[in-house]
Amino acid sequence: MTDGIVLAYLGAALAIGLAGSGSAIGVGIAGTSGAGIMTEDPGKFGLVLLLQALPGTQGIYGLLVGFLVLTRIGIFAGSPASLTINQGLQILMACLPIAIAGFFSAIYQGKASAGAIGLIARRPEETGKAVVMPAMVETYAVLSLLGSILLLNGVVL
Amino acid sequence: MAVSKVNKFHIFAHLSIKESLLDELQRLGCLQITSIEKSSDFHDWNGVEEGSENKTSAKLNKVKFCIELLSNYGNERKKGLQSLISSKETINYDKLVEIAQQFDYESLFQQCTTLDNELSHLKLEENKLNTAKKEIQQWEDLDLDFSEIDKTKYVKYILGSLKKNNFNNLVQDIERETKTNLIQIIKEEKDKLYIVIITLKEKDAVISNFLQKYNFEIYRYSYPFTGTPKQILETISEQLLSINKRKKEIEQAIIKLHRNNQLIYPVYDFLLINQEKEDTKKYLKKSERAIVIKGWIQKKHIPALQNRIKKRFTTYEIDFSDPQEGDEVPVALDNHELIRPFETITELYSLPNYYEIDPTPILSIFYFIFFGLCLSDVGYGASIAILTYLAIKKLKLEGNTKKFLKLLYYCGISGIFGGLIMGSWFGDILNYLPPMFSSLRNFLMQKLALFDPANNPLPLLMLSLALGVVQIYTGIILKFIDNVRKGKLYDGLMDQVSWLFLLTGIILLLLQPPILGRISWIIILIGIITVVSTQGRTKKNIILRIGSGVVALYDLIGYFSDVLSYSRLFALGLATGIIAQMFNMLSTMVNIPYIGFLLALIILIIGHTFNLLISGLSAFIHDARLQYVEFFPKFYQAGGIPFKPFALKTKYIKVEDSTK
Repeated sequence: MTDGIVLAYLGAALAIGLAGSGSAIGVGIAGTSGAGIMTEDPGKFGLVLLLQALPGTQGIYGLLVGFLVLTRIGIFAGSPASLTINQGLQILMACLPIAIAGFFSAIYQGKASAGAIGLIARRPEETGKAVVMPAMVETYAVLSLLGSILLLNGVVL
Repeated sequence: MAVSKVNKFHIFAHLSIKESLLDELQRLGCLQITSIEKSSDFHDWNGVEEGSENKTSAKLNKVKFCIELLSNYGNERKKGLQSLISSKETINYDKLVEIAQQFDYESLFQQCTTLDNELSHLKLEENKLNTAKKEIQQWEDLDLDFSEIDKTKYVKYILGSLKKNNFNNLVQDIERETKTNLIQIIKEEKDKLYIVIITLKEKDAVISNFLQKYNFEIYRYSYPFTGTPKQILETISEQLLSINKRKKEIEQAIIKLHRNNQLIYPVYDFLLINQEKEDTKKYLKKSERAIVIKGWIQKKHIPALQNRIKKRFTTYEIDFSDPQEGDEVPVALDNHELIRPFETITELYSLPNYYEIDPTPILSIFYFIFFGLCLSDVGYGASIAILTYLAIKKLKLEGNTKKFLKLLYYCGISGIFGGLIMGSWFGDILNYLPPMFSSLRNFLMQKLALFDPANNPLPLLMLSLALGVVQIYTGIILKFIDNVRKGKLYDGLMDQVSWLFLLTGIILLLLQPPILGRISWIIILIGIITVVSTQGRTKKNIILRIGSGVVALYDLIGYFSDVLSYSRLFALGLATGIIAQMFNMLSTMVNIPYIGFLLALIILIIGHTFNLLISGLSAFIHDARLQYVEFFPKFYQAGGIPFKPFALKTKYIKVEDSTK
């Protein structure tokens, strides 16, 4: 085993940890405002939960990229590949898009979700539009996931 | 395309048949009754207000109160999610009227009020007792009758609490001053002591000073119970028990009342129907002998309306006319049975304007394909399809719930196709089958699969982008057709066809088919020239005109990012498969003898359910977003007001109209 694998681990850890933290913050923000709405109308639980769950996807994308990295370097197969520093760095870089964009987009998506929850509290008939608003933010998480996957695919082992 | 044609109608009828006519129209359930506009000849006629709507809403409130109380305790009705998708009982309309007339809701209301009052009284009492109990519990170990405390002649008892670290100082101070003192700790808490000080009355003033100095909180007993704290606590417990018993009795009574008064639900719905009728009356106008009703009707329902009232009435006249310019025509969509569920997606955004195109038929094709690519798993797709199929078959659903479940059913089927072409069956679960199934596995996961996104992502990514191009082209072409339809052929040529040239040229250039080397440049050139020369045509100044034409080229970036946005189809599809693989792998990591198998099964069930929900939600939302943000702006004119028929609207039961 050479040193490169540590860098690959760092990449997987960043992808999972940062994107997950962002999601936690985002879901938290949306949850706080959701709980406020439900004190007035507990019947909106289903809708509020749906909107609260939206910023949670970044964490999953992060986990997904982390999982791809671990599969790629053969952790699950039981025989980790030996990586050079250069290869390790490549994997680390490939993880950065989802780590960074995942973290920030989840927080802002949480804010958008909180706003959307406020919207359905006052105008329940506009649920469709309320759900699309936070999904606009998610676009960039999906794009960074795409970036990470494509980069990871390009790493030559 | 499929915005239902709507006609305006006026019904003139003799005053005497007003009630029965309204009844009949409500049961028919396909008219929207609106107010008579100011320009109309009948606008100056009198309204038909009777003040009876207040009576109905008062009745409705009473019945609502009863239902709330009864359903809170009588758990016989389903709650939460179940009530959302549970089926409604069907009652014939005539039967409903009969039920409502015979039902004595006044006496039920009286009973409910009495029970509710007693219940809230008991709750109040219970709260009081609980507070007292908590307070007196602090003094449980004090062996002293509370009522005796103030009756002593020379001795004084002081009860109270203070902070632990002040205790020793207080004891010292008091002992120094009075020499003879008894201080007893009754209860010790984390940093608080409950103590009783026994002293002579003459020393009272001195001690009070100390007490103030050490922030001693004097406890004053203020409850009517007598006896030592232990005895009092017993009394309170007994009283609490009897309150609880009484509460149970009342709850039983409510449950019994609920069981005996199941008819309250149809009665509520009957009143709801009545209220809608009363509300509608405010749109009516009357003269001395006649009334006039104005509203909208879908053209396809006109014969039904005529047949229906011809059967019962003679003293009336109906007049139909096409909507005029400036009318706010309500919009109803009218699509083929197969496409109808997709109206949900259009309605979530906004209905089309009455004179515009209904996007649903074309949207349905794209929505179906995209959902499959996003969900992309045979297992998940089949789960959704089977569950929703069962729900539609087993439960008597209606209206929007049924429409939505049908949409989900289609989505599930689409997911199966998506999974087939990507070789995803609950992720890679087929890999874990025993070796004897290897030929089946190879067939399902490799022969049938057209893509292998995890190892070779580019083909699927290209397919996603290509689908994006197709949808954007469709949007532009639809706008062109719309322009032609409205007689604006030149606008269509300049705004849409010019862009089609430009975009086609660029795509050809990117793909570089060998024959078309120069041709793609020529097409691009035609595109650029037409765009630049036409996009500023509203400007009078020639330089400004060309300037805004050049600026319009900037829209190219918009088209570019629109197409890239479709890469989400690829990313979401890949994500579903990989998360599923992750759970499959996790389940194999449990290597505990005997129970390992069970644990693995639990991991699989929970994991796949979770993934199904998350991926399904993502697919639904992102698919809708592509329609709303990338597709609709190219051609769609939203802003229609929904057609809201005057009908038998109910909450708990389904009304069947026998004469239909």
